[in-house]
Amino acid sequence: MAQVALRLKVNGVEHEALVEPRLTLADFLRTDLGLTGTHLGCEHGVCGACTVLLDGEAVRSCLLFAVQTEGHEVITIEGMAQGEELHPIQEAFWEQHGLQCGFCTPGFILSAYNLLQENAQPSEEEIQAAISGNLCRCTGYQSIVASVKAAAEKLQLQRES
Amino acid sequence: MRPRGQSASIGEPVKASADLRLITGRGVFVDDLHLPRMVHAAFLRSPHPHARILGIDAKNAATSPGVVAIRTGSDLNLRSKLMQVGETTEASAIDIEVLPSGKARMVGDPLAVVVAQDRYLAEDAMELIDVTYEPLSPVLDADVARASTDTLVHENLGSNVFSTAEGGYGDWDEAVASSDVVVRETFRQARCSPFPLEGRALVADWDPADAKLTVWSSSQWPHMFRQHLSDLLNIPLDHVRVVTQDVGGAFGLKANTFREDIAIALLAVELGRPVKWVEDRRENLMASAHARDHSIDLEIALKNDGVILGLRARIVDDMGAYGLYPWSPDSWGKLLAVSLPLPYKVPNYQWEVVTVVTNKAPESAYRAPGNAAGAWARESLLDIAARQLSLDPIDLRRRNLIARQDLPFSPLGGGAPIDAVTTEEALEQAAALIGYDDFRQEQQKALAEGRYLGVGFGIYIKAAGRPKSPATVGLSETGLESATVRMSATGAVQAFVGACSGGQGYETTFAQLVADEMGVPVDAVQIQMGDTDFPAESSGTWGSRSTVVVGATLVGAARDVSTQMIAVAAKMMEAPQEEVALEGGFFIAERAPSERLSVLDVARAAWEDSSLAPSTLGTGLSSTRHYEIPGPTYSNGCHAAVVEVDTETGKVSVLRYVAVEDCGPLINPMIANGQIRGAIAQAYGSVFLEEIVYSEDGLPLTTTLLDYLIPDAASMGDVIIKHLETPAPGSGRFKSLGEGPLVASAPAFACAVADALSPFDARLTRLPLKPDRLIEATGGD
Ligand code: FES
Ligand code: FES
Repeated sequence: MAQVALRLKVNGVEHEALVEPRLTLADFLRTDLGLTGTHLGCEHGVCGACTVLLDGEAVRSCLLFAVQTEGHEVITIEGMAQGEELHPIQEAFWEQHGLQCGFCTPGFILSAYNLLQENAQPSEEEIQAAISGNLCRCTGYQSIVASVKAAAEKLQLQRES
Repeated sequence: MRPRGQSASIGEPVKASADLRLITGRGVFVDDLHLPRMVHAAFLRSPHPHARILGIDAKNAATSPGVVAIRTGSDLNLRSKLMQVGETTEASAIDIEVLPSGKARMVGDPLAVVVAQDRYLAEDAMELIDVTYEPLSPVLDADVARASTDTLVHENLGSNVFSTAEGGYGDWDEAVASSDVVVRETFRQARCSPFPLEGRALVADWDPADAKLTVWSSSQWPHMFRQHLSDLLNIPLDHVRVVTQDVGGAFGLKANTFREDIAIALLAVELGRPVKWVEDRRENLMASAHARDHSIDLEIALKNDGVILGLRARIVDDMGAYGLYPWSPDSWGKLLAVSLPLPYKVPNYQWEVVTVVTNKAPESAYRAPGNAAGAWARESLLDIAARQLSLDPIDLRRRNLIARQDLPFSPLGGGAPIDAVTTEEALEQAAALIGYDDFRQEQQKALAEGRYLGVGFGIYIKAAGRPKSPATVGLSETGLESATVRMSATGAVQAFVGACSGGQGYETTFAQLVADEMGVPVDAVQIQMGDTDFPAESSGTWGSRSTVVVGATLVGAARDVSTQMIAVAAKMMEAPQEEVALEGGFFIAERAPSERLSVLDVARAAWEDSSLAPSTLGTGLSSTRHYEIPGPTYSNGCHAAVVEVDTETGKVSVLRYVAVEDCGPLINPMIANGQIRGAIAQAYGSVFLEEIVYSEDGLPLTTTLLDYLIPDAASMGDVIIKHLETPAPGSGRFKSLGEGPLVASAPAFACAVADALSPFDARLTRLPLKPDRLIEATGGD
């Protein structure tokens, strides 16, 4: 199948590649770039495990073709920490044990990032609603909600200092 | 002497060590493996529930770009032994081929496998394969299948009944004769999916130089899987290695050896290169396995005061088209039957399990198989009986619970004596925490306002960690477990275990056990698991067994190493062993407390100077132990829910939820509570949402997450958790937690809804309790 040139920025790094038009963004990230932290739980847009940030907005990378991201910027779970230093959302998930098997976790962290960009101090209900597009089979969600709440507090403290 | 660590970690919410790699995207799940020369497989699956396969033409597909190999049953079946399931005395056996060659027996039956340079190309080629089918009429309903021999799923069985098993104790007829009332109802649990977020996945590779097969598998039981690969493919056991790294949830689905696993392994051997197969969600929901397809006809005989005299259960289990290797397909129905009387004193019990073959996906274990559905039916029937006898449902339960004064209680159906359970305390505390005393008033008040509130309870006792014995499920090595603990010259501890973690946090809880036993910090302990080449054997992680069996084994091995270290320290300090103690990370001799040796000093000396080592040991510090504890331990718990049902919309809101659990002393409360909350969510799913649906002509209708609903973050709020922490008798004995909470939770939800709708005399005997069913039950439309 004919390949198309693609140029995009992922986690701050410019990439150029030749890809088939049908290659999904998720498969491009996982296979071509080796960024396997983006997971595939359904490949039909429901579970949210494949969530990444496209120009700062949470999107489902299983529903996008890689070529649609031409000229755009993608952040994956691998781009959240600054070197050794975890992002406050990651810290909160660790402290609150907002995960078990961890398969859904990258998606939740990026959805939480999206929420906290738009709403710095969400209520419990707002958190539940915002992450209800991500599915987790292990945790029962309460620890995830607690993680997002704790992350909001951490980010608030960070802003204050 | 028991060493004291620098910091006792048991009971502390130690942060889970695996979490760090998982929150940074550095976990390694099977699909994350990219090996050199690796190729990708896809399975062509039958679109028919039942059809004769007249021919498979792969000519066009073979020349499709990137195709490496296409194989059908006629290529593969002779290269593997048949996967025979069902060796119990009542049952005939089913011989499962790698890829069915004569007939497709379910939608999703794998008929051919395509291997190509990538998955896209494999699927392209798959579409070019031409299969000629002769459709046959399918058998879809268990009752129809049972009654008729017009259409047979497996001709060799002579009927569609796989087995009929009976059991029990006492005399049911006698119980009925002495009773004041017999209450009967038939409960229908919906077929559902274990649904781990990561489906089945494996990479197999063959190294011709070493004649060794290596399989990376998302598994609950790498050692059992190794055994099965060795047996079925006829490769010596030590030439098979199974590696299980991160597992994206399992819940019973990954304690099976599937046909696809064998096909992929065969292809790796044939091609001499790594072959990857990762199922997609459609395959997972359609063709991996389903669970809990039980119909439970339950009768209970009682005195007017609520004392139970007897129970009779007639269970029909729809096992689907095949079993799953190596389990006997009637295992789950039988587990249901055997677990039904617990946690009550039932003096007479009679059961029958009819396991029926249909043209649907096979049935797998799913977290608390049998137990969860059985508890829902039993607790629901108890509530119906209480209403009929005008008794308080809690009083009725109090009257029949296996209580403190009954312990140790020998189950009348056989099995190890039940001890150290706290059923009454759990019930009383759950009732207090949910506000039961005032609830009836609250309920009346709400009713006066046209609001329907209800309360429900679920109680369980669950055994885990059976010793080596042919358990009811027919596995021969269910108790096998060993662990190795080594202290290196650097003072770091490595512990090798055969369990593997699909989110249970074992890397952390096991490290806590070893650290405390050896007096080192938790982060000095590395838990190594999930590799059959490690010095540890295992029957796998299922049946809530791992904490019980691995915990006990690890603590024993760690204690040995501590003892070895004390012997070395004593020699170094020239003090008698009995006078040396490990305190706060230092060895101290009673006589000269100021001369202390660190753990590191002793570890280094033990490895460097063989004259210091205990004479039986040689150089170094290590111990391997086997699980030797005779018999399981029992956990118990009681959950209570208060719900409100909107009778207009059928929507159920969970207003309050309480879980009282006695899983013994907690190792890590944060991880334990996660297990409980997760189990409650899964119970919520099977009570309110989850149902695998087939059309009348046998097509699966729930093959995406738009059709198969699982709970999301907005399903319910937080739960109150209370722990009782009664130790199991005997030292180093742990209780289980993985499944019990689900057993208590399903009835708590369902009974609460039934209680809320009791003004309508609603019969809620069919799960899931979807809005339309609830509206119908209230007489609305
Ligand atoms: S994998 Fe993209 S939403 Fe599920
Ligand atoms: S932690 Fe396993 S799916 Fe969320």
